[in-house]
Amino acid sequence: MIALRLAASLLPIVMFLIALVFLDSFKLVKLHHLLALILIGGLAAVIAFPINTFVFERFSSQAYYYSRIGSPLIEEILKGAAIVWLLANGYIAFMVDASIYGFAVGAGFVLVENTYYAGAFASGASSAVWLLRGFGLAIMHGGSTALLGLIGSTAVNDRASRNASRIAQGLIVAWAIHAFYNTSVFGPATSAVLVIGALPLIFALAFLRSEQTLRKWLTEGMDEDIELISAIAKDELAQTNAGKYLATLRQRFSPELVVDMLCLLTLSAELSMRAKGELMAREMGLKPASDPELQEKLAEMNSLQKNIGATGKLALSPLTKHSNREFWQIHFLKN
Amino acid sequence: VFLIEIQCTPKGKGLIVTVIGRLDTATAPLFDRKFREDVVAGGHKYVVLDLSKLNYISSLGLSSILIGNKAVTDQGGELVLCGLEGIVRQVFQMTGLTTVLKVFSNPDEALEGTLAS
Repeated sequence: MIALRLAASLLPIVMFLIALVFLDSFKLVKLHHLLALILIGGLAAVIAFPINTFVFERFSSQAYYYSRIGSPLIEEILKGAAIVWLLANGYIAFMVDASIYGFAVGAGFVLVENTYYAGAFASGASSAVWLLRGFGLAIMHGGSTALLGLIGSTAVNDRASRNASRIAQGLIVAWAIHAFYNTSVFGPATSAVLVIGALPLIFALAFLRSEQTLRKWLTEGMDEDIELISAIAKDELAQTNAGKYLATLRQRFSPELVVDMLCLLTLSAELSMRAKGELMAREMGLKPASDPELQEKLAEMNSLQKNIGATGKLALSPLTKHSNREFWQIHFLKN
Repeated sequence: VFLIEIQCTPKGKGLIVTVIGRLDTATAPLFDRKFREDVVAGGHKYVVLDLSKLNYISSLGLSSILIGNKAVTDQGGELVLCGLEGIVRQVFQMTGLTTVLKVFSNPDEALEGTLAS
């Protein structure tokens, strides 16, 4: 009976996660990342448990408030930490991957939590309550972390301060949903129904928006890269804005460094085109072979960046893209 | 202003589609329509896309070719490329799309290749 209840409460979240992965038309999400994040979510639950137990025991008179306000914050911070790290390091660049990875962390968390509850309160509730509780809790945990990622990812291409502000907003929303769920203002059943009804709708809208953003970034970025490569191939770089700007740098930097800058621009454009080409192919269900020269190209890019130095990179910044999506492309190619 | 011309020439069991000019934001919708009407609706299974007279391709152009490829493969056929030159060749190579689409040097070789497979 316990196993059946447990399966019934866990199955929906696994199915929801699979559905989200299928909706990822550009195949941004990698299976090994997804599994790692489920494990991290489980780990977050394991860490949250002694913290919550300690606070409950130490401040038992405040247990009512802590369970509704305090523990949701602790749990959302623990779950969100992995997503924030992925966002900050360019492993997540769009709403789709941010929300799927967020949901995976929540899934891992609830897998551990529901397993614990199944063992601890095996005979305390009817099957119907179990189902609703398990399902509602699963969608709430997955959805709240997914929303953190989703909101955080909307500023992934902006400056760091705006990025941090969006992540904070995401955390507040995740906390609010979790606290609302735990408070059970409308009763546990209604809260569960509200969460189950609202979150999939939010995801559907976010996925649509994300696809538009991705398509715009993909086409505009690739066209800029093609223009640059085309101008270099036709020996017409000097007539382009990039060429004119590079010419002005000759007065401030040695000819060797300016050549390195041009090589860096070309190589960055080449890697960017590769990543975007792969995304286009994946959308059509094709899987391009990995670039056999990728490691050499990445090593060359590092070497050029070192040669140019911080001042050179700053001088080159009007021509280069520094957003997290550009870093994400490199991670995407490596994996 | 001449931007693109698409010529469809049946040859044996195959169809050679020659694209002349530019395949970019302005011309990709024309290519899509022509491809849909003359190639996909015509039920052609062995399609050779001759790009030897194409002098520029943008992201939308690439996307149009991939969509065309999917439409042909969905009806059990195959689309192959030939005549990639200059910047068009570079774009296909750099994007890695030469690893998912077969590339031949000329239409005859391409037709032979697609019929053989």
